[in-house]
Amino acid sequence: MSTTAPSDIGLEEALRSVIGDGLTSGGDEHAVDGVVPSLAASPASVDALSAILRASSERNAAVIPWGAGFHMSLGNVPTRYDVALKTTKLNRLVEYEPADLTVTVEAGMTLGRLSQHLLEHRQFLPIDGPDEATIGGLLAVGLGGPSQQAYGFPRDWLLGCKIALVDGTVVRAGGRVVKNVAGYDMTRMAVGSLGTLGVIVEATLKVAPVPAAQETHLAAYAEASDALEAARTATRAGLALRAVAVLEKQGAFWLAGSSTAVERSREELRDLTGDTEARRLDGQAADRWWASLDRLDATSDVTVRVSVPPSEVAAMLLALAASTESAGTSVKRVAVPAVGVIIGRLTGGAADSYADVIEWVRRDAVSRGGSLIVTKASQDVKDRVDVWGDSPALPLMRSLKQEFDPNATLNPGRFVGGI
Amino acid sequence: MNANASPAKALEKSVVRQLERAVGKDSVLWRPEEVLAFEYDGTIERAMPQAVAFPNTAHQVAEVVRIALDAGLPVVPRGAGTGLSGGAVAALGGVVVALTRMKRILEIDAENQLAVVEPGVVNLELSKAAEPHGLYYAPDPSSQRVCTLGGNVAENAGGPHCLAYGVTTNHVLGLEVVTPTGDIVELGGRTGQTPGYDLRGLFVGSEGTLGIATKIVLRLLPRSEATRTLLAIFDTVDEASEAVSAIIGHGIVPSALEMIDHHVIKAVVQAMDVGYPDDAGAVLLIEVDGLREAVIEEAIEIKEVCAAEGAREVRVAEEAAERERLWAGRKGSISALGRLAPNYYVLDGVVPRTKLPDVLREVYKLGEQYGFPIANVFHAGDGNLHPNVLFDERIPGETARVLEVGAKIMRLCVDAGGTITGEHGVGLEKRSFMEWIFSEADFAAMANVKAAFGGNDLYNPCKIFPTGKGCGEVTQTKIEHVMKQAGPDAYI
Repeated sequence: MSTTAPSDIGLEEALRSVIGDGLTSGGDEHAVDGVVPSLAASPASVDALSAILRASSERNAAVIPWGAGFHMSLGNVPTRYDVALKTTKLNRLVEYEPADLTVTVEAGMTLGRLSQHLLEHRQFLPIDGPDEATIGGLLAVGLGGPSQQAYGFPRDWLLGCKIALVDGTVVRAGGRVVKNVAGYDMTRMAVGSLGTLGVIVEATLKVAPVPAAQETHLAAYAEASDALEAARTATRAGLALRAVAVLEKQGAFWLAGSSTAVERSREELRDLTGDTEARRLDGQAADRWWASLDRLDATSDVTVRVSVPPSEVAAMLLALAASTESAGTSVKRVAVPAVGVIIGRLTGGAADSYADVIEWVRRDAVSRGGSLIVTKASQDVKDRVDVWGDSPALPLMRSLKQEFDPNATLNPGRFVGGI
Repeated sequence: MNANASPAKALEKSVVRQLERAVGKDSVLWRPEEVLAFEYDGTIERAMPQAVAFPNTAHQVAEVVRIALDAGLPVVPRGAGTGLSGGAVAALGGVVVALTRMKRILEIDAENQLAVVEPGVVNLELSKAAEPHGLYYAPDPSSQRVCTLGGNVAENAGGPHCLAYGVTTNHVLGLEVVTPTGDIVELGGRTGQTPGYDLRGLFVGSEGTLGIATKIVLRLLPRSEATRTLLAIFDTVDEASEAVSAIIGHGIVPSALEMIDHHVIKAVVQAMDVGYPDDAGAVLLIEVDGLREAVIEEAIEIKEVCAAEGAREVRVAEEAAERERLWAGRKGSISALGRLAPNYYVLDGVVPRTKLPDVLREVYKLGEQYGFPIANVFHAGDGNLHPNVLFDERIPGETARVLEVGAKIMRLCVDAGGTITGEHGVGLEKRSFMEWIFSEADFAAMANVKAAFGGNDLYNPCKIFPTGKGCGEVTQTKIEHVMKQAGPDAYI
């Protein structure tokens, strides 16, 4: 099969000439915010993926890259959408050198499968996400989970990647070694760009040794503020913590480290949880509990993610509660106070009231040196508010988009400022 | 974008006046004898700037940038001038923007564990200022007593403790930047995660080609409860480098894992009393920190791994004074090298950790072939090599041969799956090696990034990229010529 399409034929014919059976009609299962593409392409090689990008771009068609589709609710409503470009067939483990703590995978590899490979050597990738999410998707979204408290941002784990651009070229960013300052660090450009500059097709990641001991303690408090205070004290005490999450009045303490360090931390934690009813989870039960946080979106109409300096978390938790109450909606809040992230899941309101809450809480977050993004909302809500909010660097971001994707082939309209 | 501007354009008196109006009369140097001190940085290349301006504010920086570009003169940002790849050298002349007067620590926010600083703040000064809050700034390049944080951002500087805590980019939350077109923009913020592209991450390590940072928001870390430093002594470099892989392979990521080879040990032992045995083939300096319990366990485990890999002796230091003594040998090693040869040329390459034994063997072999001792003192845990080629510039033709062996060592790193720089940057020095690791398409993408920021041929010209307008003459022959004139200090 040819990997370049003749220029005088239509989109469908062109894509078929590249991948044949890998092309199907789009259908509702590939809808994004209610917009349905006419085609879905599942290339089985990087060459084919890049030929599809180029053929689409040349024909002014709009492409939305898909991993597992787990995060498709993130983003503004697409202004155009012709082709769902699926990376799921690009799922090889390219290279794994346990003694180097590095692994190279194709973008469609799922986190679950990668974790299985890594676990054979007692290693793991400290980027939280559901097992079925693809590595490419997790990186393109770039938002960390609770483990960020101990392990840093997802971007800090990406050493290098290959990015397919709309002109049909595939560029390399970074490298395969843990330290590298040769040239611009284009890995940073890829992480969190929601596939608006190019499609990540391969990634080299740093991995970490699995801590010798891990356990999770759940404690119920009388008030959310008590849970928050316990979380802050535990963090300040320098315990062997991977993460502390506060879910309304519940505190979840994830201990990780050497067995003696975890043992001591457990003792000190006992003082913090006081006479509250604490429950301990180990092994798979603990894993399942933390993984369940990723699935809470199934129960919400709208999900917002607030990011503020840690000192502002208490105020933002109150702001979320107050604004939802006055708008006549309800909210369930999950915070990881140490990293200043609060997820708010809203239910029971109309589009207008959700939009009010978003605008109100966003203003508050911005005034505290932070930001708010909407990670899930219906098209109705997205029609009323911007998903991302403003950025002072928007002109620079627009020119970056212009340089890499002048025809707005990739994810048109979905990113910051309608990029 | 002044694409037609001639790099050799003369400095008009009127431009000097404009610069003086922008930053103050006493903040502009232009007489040749005044700007002479700004013709070099920490490496071998030299070139005379036409003027040096010392702005005090972001607006002044922006003004200087606009004046220079309007006059068709190159702009070259500069911190302390300790860079090791020629990033602050005014390759085509022009106006050096010296940021050393912007040295205020604007804020230490202990609760949120961050600091806001101006670019001229010296690296170590930030850790000192954070100390009363129990915090510190993690990246610790060897030049941390003098190098500036703005320079660290430009080069994405590293250091021994970057193994566990990451290099500069992992610690920069936000930036205020003057772009190459003289606009002031904010990138990132105070949370490390802001909506939109991670322009902050693109800017860090851009070697002064995408703009000048005028304000930097940095993450601070809490001091660990306990720290232990180990000195593992090996008879051979081979055993020591196998031990590096073995430690990492055991699931231990120390905060630092440094190797010092026999050449360096010999120099260090002559220079100071740090207790290194002078007949060792190599020593590993290993540090672990964290909770007391974890540190004790890890130290024991590392000791066992080193013994299994053939360590002759492993010393463990717990007290601060004891630990500092072990570190003194590492920290003083570069200056001690002067005892072994009149000159030395430090290289910076990275290989996968598992390739260390093979690559080091090849490095020594190259040294033997060329007749140069090559002394290695480096961040072994990261696979970040720093071979120092020892030579005597007074011997005709030696400098050319040093550059040749340097290029071959870089090639070894690339062939082993590594890269040509781990923390010093590409600068002027390694532009020609970039083609070994990047394709035309990769360069085109980087050119897109540069264009998006408004980067142009006059903005820190001749850095990073193998080609550049008017940069043809900044070639190996010029470097050789310069090396013949330079004193020993110019090689580190």
